[in-house]
Amino acid sequence: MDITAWQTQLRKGAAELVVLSLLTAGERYGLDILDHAGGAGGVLSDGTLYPLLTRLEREGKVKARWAMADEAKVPRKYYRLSAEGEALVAEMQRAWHEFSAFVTGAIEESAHERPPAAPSRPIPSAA
Amino acid sequence: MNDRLPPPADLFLRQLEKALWPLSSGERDAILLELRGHLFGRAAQGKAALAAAIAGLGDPEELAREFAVAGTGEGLRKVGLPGRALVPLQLPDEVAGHRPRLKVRDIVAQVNATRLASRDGLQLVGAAAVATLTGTNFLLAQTGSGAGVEAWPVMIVRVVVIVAAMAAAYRIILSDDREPWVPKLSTFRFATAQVSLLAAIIGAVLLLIAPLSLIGAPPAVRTAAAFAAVAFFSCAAMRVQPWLAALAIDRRDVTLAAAWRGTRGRLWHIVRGWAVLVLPFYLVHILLSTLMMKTVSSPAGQLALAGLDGIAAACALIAAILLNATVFRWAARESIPEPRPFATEPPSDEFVLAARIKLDRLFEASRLENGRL
Repeated sequence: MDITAWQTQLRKGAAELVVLSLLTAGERYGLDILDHAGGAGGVLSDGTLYPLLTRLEREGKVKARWAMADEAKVPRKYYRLSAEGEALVAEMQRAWHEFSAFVTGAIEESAHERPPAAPSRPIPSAA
Repeated sequence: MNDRLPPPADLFLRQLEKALWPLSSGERDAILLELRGHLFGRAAQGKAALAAAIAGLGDPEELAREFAVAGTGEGLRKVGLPGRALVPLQLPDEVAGHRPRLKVRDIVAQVNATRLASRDGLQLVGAAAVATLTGTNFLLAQTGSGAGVEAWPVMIVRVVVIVAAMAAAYRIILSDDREPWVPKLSTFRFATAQVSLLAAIIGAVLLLIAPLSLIGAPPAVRTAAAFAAVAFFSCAAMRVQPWLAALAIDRRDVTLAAAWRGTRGRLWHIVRGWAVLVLPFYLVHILLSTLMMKTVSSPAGQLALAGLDGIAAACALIAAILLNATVFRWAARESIPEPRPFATEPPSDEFVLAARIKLDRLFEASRLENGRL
């Protein structure tokens, strides 16, 4: 069974939380975010990060500035959380913990409990 | 310090730049600059890291669509989605000053792309320039021969027609104006600015070499000083050309100051483009003019040389206009457009239908032939 589409939806939802969480540590540029994400289990890639950052900036969740680092050959765009982004990431992290605890609990419970057996005889029709 | 990206990364960015057309030039520049920095960072980690980064960025077209959806309202509207009031991603001035380094072949390719993307009508500009330059060259050669030809009316006709042709050429290349030859207020603004610029250059050169004449400097020194002054002021004039083009097409956003700022750090590109594309024609024009004035006395010979000179000068003019139009796009921070798929009219539906029927028959015949084999 192919679960690729389902995994894609999961990643899309999680990528925003990963990026915003990484920015709680302070200002970062794109490559820095990717390196700190360490692949993030396939949640973030080079191709998904930059459009996501563009959207987050447009939505006012992050703020950006350009700066020329000494070792860099071209200017870098540094991102940081806005006040709205800080409040949002705290809320998202809390919701994520609750959600993951609920899903993990449901999976573990289903592994230990068997559902009641279905009746073997067919139900007679009303006619 | 080597600031060129390895070819695969450079190719990726070029493809992405083309695919980012729905976005504004400010957004496009910001995205390309950020990804350029990203790819530089990966290139520093090694070839494998760079290859993985390019693979991770995926298909440039798909990535551009992601950016279009994530970006500003303009990009959204162009991909068919409702635009919203969004935060523009304009680059700050210190970053906007960053300019890519171009090789001569890149400059020539951009000028050629400008030519291919322009609407039909440059041929008419060329024909008008050749006819005017040939006729006026010939008449000017007759001024000292007792034929009763005055130089100044000929020069006035020459300047008026050439300036009108230049304005029409800019409108053909840089705007969607369907009547490029019809004089408008913008045409007069362009003509005034163009003639004033020429007069200013000539005046400045004369002012500079006048003291040399007064102190009795040798002719060789005066000539060298005049050439140096012309070169200096011509270089300065090259940075003003986007403003002149903007006047011709009535674009108010590219002011004189904007043209000067927009060509900052790019004068060397413009000079190299001019040396490759315009100077050869210009040198031929000077050679033929000199030949006509100094060695040929028969009217038939003068007419033949005037014609060849007219062609060379018209080629120099068209090449300079195409280069200036390309520089205008640099200054206005517009991308060089893709060539238009049909230079004239697209084929008619009947033509397409007939071609399709013919292809179907050929395909059927080929299929039957293969079946027999």
